Amino acid sequence: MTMTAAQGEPKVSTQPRREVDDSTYRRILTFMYDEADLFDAHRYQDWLQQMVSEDIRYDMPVRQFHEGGVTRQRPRQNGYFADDYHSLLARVTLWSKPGTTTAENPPTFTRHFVTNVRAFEGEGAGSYAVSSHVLVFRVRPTEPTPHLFSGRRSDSLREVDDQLRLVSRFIEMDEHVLMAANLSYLI
Amino acid sequence: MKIEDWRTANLGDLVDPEMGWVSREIFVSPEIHRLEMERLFLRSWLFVGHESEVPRPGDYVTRQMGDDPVIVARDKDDRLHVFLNACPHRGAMLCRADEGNKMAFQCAYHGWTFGNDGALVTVADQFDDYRGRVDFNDYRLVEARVGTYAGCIFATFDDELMDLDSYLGDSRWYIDMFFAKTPGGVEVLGAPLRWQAQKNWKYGAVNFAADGPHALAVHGPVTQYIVGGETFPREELLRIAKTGPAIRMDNGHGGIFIDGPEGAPPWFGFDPELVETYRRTLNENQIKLMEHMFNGVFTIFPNMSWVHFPISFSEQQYPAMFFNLRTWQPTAADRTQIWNWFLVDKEAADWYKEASLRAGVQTFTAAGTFDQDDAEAWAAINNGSKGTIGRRQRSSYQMILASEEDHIADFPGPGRAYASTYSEMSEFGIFLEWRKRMMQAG
Repeated sequence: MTMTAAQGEPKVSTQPRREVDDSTYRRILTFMYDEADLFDAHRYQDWLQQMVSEDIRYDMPVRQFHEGGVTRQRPRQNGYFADDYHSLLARVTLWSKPGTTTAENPPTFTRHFVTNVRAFEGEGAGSYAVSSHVLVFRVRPTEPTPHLFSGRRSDSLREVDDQLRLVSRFIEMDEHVLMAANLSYLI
Repeated sequence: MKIEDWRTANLGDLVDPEMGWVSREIFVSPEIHRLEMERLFLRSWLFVGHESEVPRPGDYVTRQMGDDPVIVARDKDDRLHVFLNACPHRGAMLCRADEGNKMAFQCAYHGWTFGNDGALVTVADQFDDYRGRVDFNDYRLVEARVGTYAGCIFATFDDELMDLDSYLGDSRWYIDMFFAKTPGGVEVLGAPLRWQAQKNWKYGAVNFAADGPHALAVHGPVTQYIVGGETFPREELLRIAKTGPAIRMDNGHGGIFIDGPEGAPPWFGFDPELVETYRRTLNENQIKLMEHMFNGVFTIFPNMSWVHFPISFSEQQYPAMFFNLRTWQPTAADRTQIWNWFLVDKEAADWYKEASLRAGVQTFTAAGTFDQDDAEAWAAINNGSKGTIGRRQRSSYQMILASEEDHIADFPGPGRAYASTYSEMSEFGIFLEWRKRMMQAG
């Protein structure tokens, strides 16, 4: 089974991918659901410590409309996330106390819906390439109208000491104008 | 002030120039918003993009001027055009993509085609049916006046408005410092972000003109996270924040500078290999302001702003300066669409461009560690101001009563500089200009 690469996504191998076996798929799905639960409970520091690799890359570029779907190639792309471990640590640390965040005090309501999870053997043993669709329903105290974020995540997971960890996440967002005043949560 | 009052009385009463009061009506009233489209946005040079976004003939981007969609295009002779993005035939948006490259635009409705120089090329199947009774010269694309300064593309649909250089006035000296500190100038990195917030566009324009005290109140925690609370106590941050100048310029432009702490090396956060070039390109006074600058925040009236300072979330990473440019588009009285660019000197090293872009994305986008908190503060202002009683209240810029005496006579740059970013002098300058323009009918 060959995965097709979305616009701007990191290069995907054109070799046929092997889907993981059932028990690995179950473990990866559990990982995705655990992560969604931690996000919705605002336990971001736990997420970073328990589920993320220190060489994490976390990216979400801008998305635009182009004729014929042909994007202009650029050496660098603008976006909402271009994070590594240090900047993610900053985000989750600032969110962890009411006195260090305005956007998340009061904490906003989020509900992460993770679907369409596909998991393939990655480069090397214990590595997995995982894609998923995500919807995040969110309400802020200053805006009763909920915002629904939609996107597709392309992840790289790695098994370390029997623990799956996120090594990279690339998010293709489904809006070209983000219809929200801010994005103070993780996807 | 109630709506009936300002209609019969005077728009000028909505801003009190002597006492520093601003009626909150101007942030929530749909009628005033409508009037702003005519009296303010129409009569301004509006930023629509940067030359580095349309470098080759045929390149185009679709942008916004006030509440009108426009196409910014470079024709085959390398000339820039800004057109109303509407077919002269029946008004359909000619181009629905965000950017691309082509020499002509074809309307999807009847197939009429227009060159990117504005001329009608073909009326598709309908030419014979007109039987020569129609003057096709009536069917050019509606074109705005275009001006560029330091690579920034401005446009206006007002044929009477002064030229761009006169409009920018003193702000050109500061634009040069940020956009043209090397011979090659700056380039845009990637495409602009766009997000929509429930607030009036003026909260952003004024905040970037700039609002001194919110920096520590809203951004204190993230700033201290970055610089380290022990080495950099809050009192020191406060001292630095207050010490920077606020500059008020003619035509409504304004900005602030904040220097780095004592002992910080000069040109902190800039590309070290470009420092010699900056010294050769800038003049002595510009160097004086730039070499110790940590923070420069400016608004070009009405709705173009920029912010610039060094960021690193890790001691191992160079604290590169990000350069964020944005426009606050007036979607509705209570809706602003923010367009957000990052720029960097063209001649900067690749590693520096990466670091600068990353620093900007991590701080000044809707997800950014600075922006996300501002968004909530501005939404809160909107909610506190939009009610019947709320809109009758006045917003205070009364610090000017104290600050007016702190004019810095020997400030190295043009415009009138005041001693503190907490002075509210440059912020209130936005409202003085707003008042002046809104009072000019017809």
